[in-house]
Amino acid sequence: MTSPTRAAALGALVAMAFAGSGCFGGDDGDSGGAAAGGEVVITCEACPTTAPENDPFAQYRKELTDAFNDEYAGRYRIEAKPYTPANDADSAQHYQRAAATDTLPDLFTDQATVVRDVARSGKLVDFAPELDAGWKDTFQPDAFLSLTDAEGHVWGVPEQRDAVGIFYNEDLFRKAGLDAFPASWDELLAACSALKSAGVIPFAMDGDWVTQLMWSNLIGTSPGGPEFLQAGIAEGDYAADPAVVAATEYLKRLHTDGCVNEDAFSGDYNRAAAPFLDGQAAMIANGPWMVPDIEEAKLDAGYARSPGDGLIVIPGEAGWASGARDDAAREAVTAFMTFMTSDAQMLRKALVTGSYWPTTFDPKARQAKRLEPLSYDLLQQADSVAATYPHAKFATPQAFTDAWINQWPAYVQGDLSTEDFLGALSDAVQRQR
Amino acid sequence: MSLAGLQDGARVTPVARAPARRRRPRLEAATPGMGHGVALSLLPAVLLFGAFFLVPLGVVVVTSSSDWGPLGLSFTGLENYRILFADAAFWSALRNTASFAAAAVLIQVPVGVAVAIILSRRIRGWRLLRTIYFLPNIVSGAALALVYVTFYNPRYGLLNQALGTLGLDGTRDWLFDVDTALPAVAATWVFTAGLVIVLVMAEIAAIPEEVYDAARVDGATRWEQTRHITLPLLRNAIGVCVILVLLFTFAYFDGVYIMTGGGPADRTLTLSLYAFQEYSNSNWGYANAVGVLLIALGLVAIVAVRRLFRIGERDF
Repeated sequence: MTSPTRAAALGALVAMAFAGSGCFGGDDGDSGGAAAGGEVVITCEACPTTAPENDPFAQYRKELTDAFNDEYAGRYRIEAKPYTPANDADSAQHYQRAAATDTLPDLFTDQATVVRDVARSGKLVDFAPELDAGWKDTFQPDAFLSLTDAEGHVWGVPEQRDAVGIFYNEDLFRKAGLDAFPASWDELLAACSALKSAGVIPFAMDGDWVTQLMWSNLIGTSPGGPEFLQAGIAEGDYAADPAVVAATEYLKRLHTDGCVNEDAFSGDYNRAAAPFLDGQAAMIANGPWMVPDIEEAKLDAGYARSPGDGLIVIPGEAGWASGARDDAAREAVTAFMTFMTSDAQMLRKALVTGSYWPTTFDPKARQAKRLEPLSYDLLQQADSVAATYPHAKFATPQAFTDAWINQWPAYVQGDLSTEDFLGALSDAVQRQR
Repeated sequence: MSLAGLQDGARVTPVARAPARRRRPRLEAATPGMGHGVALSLLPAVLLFGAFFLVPLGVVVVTSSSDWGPLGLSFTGLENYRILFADAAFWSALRNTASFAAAAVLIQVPVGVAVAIILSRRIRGWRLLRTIYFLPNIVSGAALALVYVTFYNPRYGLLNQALGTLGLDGTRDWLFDVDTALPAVAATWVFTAGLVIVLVMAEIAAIPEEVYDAARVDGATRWEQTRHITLPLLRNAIGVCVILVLLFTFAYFDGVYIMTGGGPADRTLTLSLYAFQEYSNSNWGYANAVGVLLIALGLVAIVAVRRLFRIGERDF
């Protein structure tokens, strides 16, 4: 079955599920899904009307929107009402306010944690009926983990699933006499010493995203670590988990031993990216979306799994969610979701953005050759590593990140004990619950 | 008039005595029918004030007694305040806000008054200096904060490079070191006293030159003129400046949000930033409880400073 045909068939399948479920959120249908001469119009805040050249994600989403409108001309039409948040917190507030005032758009995207938070308002579409009708089989088994709640509601559809490894500068490794990426955490400490002796910053960190990626790697490669990151992290009480305590103290040691950049505490991602891209730092943990920047910086870079043989796999980090309030709008939204996750669109997205599919799409050899080799190779390793696990940031509310940025510098400086630091993180999570 | 007379205080001199209070004539009595016109002309302002200030203020006060978030609102009485007073982050924010306020009152105002007095003597280049001092007040606080983020950067910031050149410790992360974060943030605005300078210079210009002439006839030195004439007569202006800098520090948000986000370990957290953080975490009722305490703090400060400086009473 060709991709467009498959997409159409899936569309019909989920539409039937939609018709059968008869429980489409919505109350009065007074907004969204407005019919214009038989055409159902849905609003989308994640659909840009213009796309800067240096923003491949915006470029792809514009292309996706246009392609959907062409494909479904006369039946469904997306009306783009782009919203560009200043930052993650701004976006979370925006959608929470929209939920509180019943003004959610028919389509929007945000981090899975935000989508789950907004879902607590009861104003989001639950895609479980459509998925249970067979659509779910076209996705990877872990694709909906971060978008599903304890009751089995599915509050969004993922658009990507990425393996997040550690980039390393091969020139700097050679300069320090290192011929391979460290395979264990002990080897990483030895590599840090060698790199420091060569006058190189071993690891670039930022006190937030990148630092938490390494924390996740340290926990995920410990016994029981993947389970903690998938479920236990949402409960709090971190200080009671020996794996978490050990991971936290190891990460602190990287800082106190001078293995990270001096400005590793601000919470500003650029503080980590800049020394790596400038060729001053030898390693940085980050996703495949950093590849274009690395290519532009003309670095001789490798991309490796974590020491301890683990890999962060982020499924559904950015979920498409819907605040559709009537059946017609929901049907159009479902058609869009099906179109967006079709093989053709998933391949196109990977080619434009370097970000991969959450579906079971298996590209042909000639298609795979066109994909970015560093990130695609790492993604394929997800099937062979000892452990895969999510990023801590996507399993916790915004309050966790706020507490991390706030307390991490003080902890590293010895102003807090490990128990106090982890207690502060636990408090933030438990209070948010 | 003698210098001794001035030293004794404004109350002994006719020019310094506060005028007797007189009952103002009612407008209706002065011009029949005029009261309705005045009321009508005030109506738009009153409506706007009510819509954009009083109503939101009422919402803030009422919802501060509720558990309000995206899931809905339920009134909880004084529960938010009970939690707040047991909340370590709140006390850190209150302590830091008080520290910023003290720095503003004890550094920004005296520096501003001193510079204003010096510039009022029309020293060479005083206009240029006044403009330079005022420039930071024109630049956006967010832009200034971004400049200071770079200035303080431990890896390539100007401060550490300068210290390193002098053979001093040039590795400190000023904004994220628990010992230096608070003073480092305060230092970014506490010396920018442009507004105080302009207000005080305007007040100095309004002091009658005859007062200084009399002092000079009595042989007063410049320092004596400053100490016994200028400073006492600046009481109103200084009081207003103290109120302004206090209200600025109570509302201080953009700089600290950009530079440290309130960290490390709440060392630079302010009350307004804390309210914002709670709002961001969907604790809207709790955030409004912080806001109500902030408003109360501002009102107490205004009343206290007005009384302390006898603002509104005339000296001459």
